Parts: sequence; C-alpha cells; structure tokens
Amino acid sequence: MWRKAWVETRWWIALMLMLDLGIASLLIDSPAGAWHGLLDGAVPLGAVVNAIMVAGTGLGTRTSYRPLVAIDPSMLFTLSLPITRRRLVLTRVVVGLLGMTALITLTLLAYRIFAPGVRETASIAAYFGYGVAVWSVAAVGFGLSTLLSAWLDQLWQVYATMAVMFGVLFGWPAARFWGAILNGEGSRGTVIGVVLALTLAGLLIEGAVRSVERRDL
Amino acid sequence: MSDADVIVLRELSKRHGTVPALDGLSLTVPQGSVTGLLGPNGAGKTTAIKLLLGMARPDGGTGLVFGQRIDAEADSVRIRQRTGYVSETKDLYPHFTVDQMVHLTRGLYSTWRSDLERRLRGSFALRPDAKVSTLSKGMRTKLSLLLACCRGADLLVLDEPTDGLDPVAAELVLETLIGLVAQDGLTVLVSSHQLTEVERVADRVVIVDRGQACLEAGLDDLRMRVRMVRIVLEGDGSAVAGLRSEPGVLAVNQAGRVVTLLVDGSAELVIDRARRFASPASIETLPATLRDLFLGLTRSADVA
Repeated sequence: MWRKAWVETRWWIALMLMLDLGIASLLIDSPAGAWHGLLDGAVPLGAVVNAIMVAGTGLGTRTSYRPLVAIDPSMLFTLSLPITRRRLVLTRVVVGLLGMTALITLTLLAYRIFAPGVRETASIAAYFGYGVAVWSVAAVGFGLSTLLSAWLDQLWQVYATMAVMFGVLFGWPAARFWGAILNGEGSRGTVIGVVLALTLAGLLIEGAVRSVERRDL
Repeated sequence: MSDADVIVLRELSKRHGTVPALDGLSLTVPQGSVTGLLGPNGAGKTTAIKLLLGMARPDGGTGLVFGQRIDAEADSVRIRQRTGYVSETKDLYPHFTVDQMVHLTRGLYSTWRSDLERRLRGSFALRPDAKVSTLSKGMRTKLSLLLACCRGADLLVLDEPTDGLDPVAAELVLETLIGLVAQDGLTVLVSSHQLTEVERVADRVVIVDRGQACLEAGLDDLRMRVRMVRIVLEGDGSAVAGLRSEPGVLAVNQAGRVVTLLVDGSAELVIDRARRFASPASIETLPATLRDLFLGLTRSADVA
C-alpha cells in the first residue's frame, strides 16, 4: 500500500518540485532582496497547491493527475484486502506528507544555494523556522483536502471547493493568520500559529479517517 | 445457524438513497458448497457482496461470515483475511505490473499459496512485467482470479467471473474454479448471469429479485422436485389466476393462451385443478431447467 500511495502521488510532487526549482534557478543572478517576494509567494503557494492536489485524491480516486476521474474502479480490490480503512487512509496521508516535506526542503535548499540574497540575509535558524511555518500551513491545506476527499465523490469537486477556500483564506485581507505564521520568522506568534495549524491539520485528518470508516464505498 | 454455514444473512436491508437495494435478504451458504447467486440486473447481488466484504454497511438485519459480523470493522478485516474476491469490473491498479500486484497481495496474506501461484501463472500465461493497464479484460480476470485464489482463502466470492470473456478464456476460468473446489474444498459464492455456467459449477442456487431471495435450494434437489407445467387454454385465462395460490406453485406466467407454471413437488394436484377450472386444450409436464426457474420466478414477479 505504501508503494501504491507513492506511485499515485509522485508525479504531482515531481511536477511541483520542478516548478519550484525552475523559479529558484531564475534567481541565480538576481540582486539581493529580489528573491524575497518570490520566496514568499512561490514556496508557500507550491507547498499548499501540492498538498491540496495530493490529498484531494483520497481513497476512492485514481490519481492526482486525472482530475476528472471520479471513483477509482480498482477501489473494490483495495477494499477486499484485510486492511482497515484507517490504515488505508493514513498510509496515503503519511506518503503525501513525506512528499510535501521533501518538496519544501528541496525547494528551500535550492533557494539557499541559488539565490545570493537568501544566503546573505537569512540565518539558518530563521530559514528553518520559515520552512516549519510553510509546512504547517500546507498541512492545514492537506488536512482540509483530505477531509473533502472523504465527503465528495469527484475529484474536481474537491479541487473546486479548495480553490474557493484557498482564495478566502489567503486572499481575504482580514485573514492574517496565515501571513502571521509565514512572516513571523521565529516570533512567539509564529510558534503559537504553527502549533494551532498542526493541531487543526491533525483534527481534519482524523475527521477524514472517521468519515471514510463510516462511508459506503 | 449451523457451524457448517460460512455465510448467514438474515433480513438484510440496504437502501441507496430512497431506492431499496436489499429488502430483507436472507440466505445461507454452507461450507464446501458452490452457491450461484442469480438475479436480474439491479436485483441486489452486487450490493449483497459489498455488504459481505464490509464495503458498505447494512441498514438493517444481520450478517455473519465465518461467524464474524459483517458490520463490525474488526470482524470485517478477519472475514477478508479468509476471503478471496473477484470484482465485477476486474479492475486492479493500472500502473502496477503483474509481478507488483502479486507481490503486494502476497505480503498481506500469511496463507499465500506459492505452489498455486506458480501453477496459475503458467496456465494463465501471465507475463510478470506486463502492466495491468495493458492487459485485456480476459487477462485481468485471470490475474484477479489468481490474486483471489492464492490468498489461501476459505471462501471465494466471485462477481460475474466470466463476464466479457471469450469462450476459451471463460472455459479456462471455469476449469480452474472447478479444480480448486475439487482439490481444496473451498466455499464459493458466484454471482453470474451465465446460467449454463452456474449450472456447471454450482451445487446450490439462490435467486434474488427486488432485494429478496425468492428461491434457495440445492440444484440436484431442484431438478428432482420442480416441474414445469405448460397449459394451452381453450378459453380465456381468467381461471388460471386461482392456480397462483395452489400449494407448491412457485410461479405462473401467461402468454396469450399458453400458461406456464413452475411447481415444487407433485404437479398432479395442480394439473387436476387446471383441468377442472381452466378448460385446457392440452397440458404437458416437463423437467424444469435452471433457466426455466430463473425466468419463471423473476418474470412472475413482474406479472404480479
């Protein structure tokens, strides 16, 4: 099941990684400071979009790169195996989160290597803190997408709902919670924000597991 | 319930929205039997199988497989540990190779039968490196059957195992099934529309219609007991309606002046009644085939 989850998510993670690394490579000759806006935008955006796409595929949908396929026909085979639904969902969650971790780590590493401004202005500790903050925000997106995939039958419904919510959470000026986490860079507010975001992500994933456990498939 | 019963369903009900898929289904599958689950499209066969394997939860009634409750998650895992399943669509993981599918399934069963795997790989001519997405439906069926049988399961649940197969592939699948049953004493529940195939492999049948079992019996028993009585009427058939309530009458179908009755047990009483009330031009008694039973019972429900 680990392999199945990995095979079904690896292309999306690879695609997002190539995109992020492509942006990083553009910054080789950029003057110090020019990277900042791109870093703030590209890393969280890439991480969250990847999280939503991977988690949205859920237990019943085929793959993250076939958004119009609704229920995976091979699901009947999966459900005939002697594995609890909790284990099935959590296997996908763990693989998805590991992929998300790799994406964020490699992207941030690439920025540090290629963008001179990052090396000059950001300490290792601040940089690590920023990575954790991005991860926690992406984890909320992952949890929400996982929960929606447990409720909705079709992948496009999950993505459409997430697009609306994503717009509200990140575009609405009053919703400063996410910005506070991402820009706090080690402040107390960021730590609290990260803890809250991780708690929320955990609750969303547990909700998804319980929903799948009760659902007729 | 007897200890020798592998599957026992009692008054099982399930609705899909407002539509009843199962409406008090009761059936028993004894250990070592091959039971054919027959019924028209939408009768509730696939829903019953999904309930058996914990893919859906019943709205009412009780179900036991190996004495374990089908609606309890932990019990359901134990049921699936001892059950091989071939789905109606035979869909497996399209991006996996044959070898990877076998490896994945083998890892989940301590009872995996490597000897049988080698044998079936040979007779099914499955290429180990072939991707599932490139396999024909026939080859996917063979792979599904291999994955179901090699689990070392005590129960095989097969949903339309020969659907869409050419006669050669269907024959190979049936021969494999018959061989496994004969050698290993498996219990098999096979849902199918192919009545001749069911007649070949099954020793019992359950005919399901509108979510209920309208017949459950051994095939040999049915062949001995059930007769088809064909009556050609001289006048109108209004008197025939009374025959429905005669003891032993399973089904009455009328097409113009020809009335066909399925009678369980002695047909003499029914024939006597028909002679007295229906003014028949002719009456003949024939042995009933499974096809006669199936059509008689399911069409009779339509007429009623």
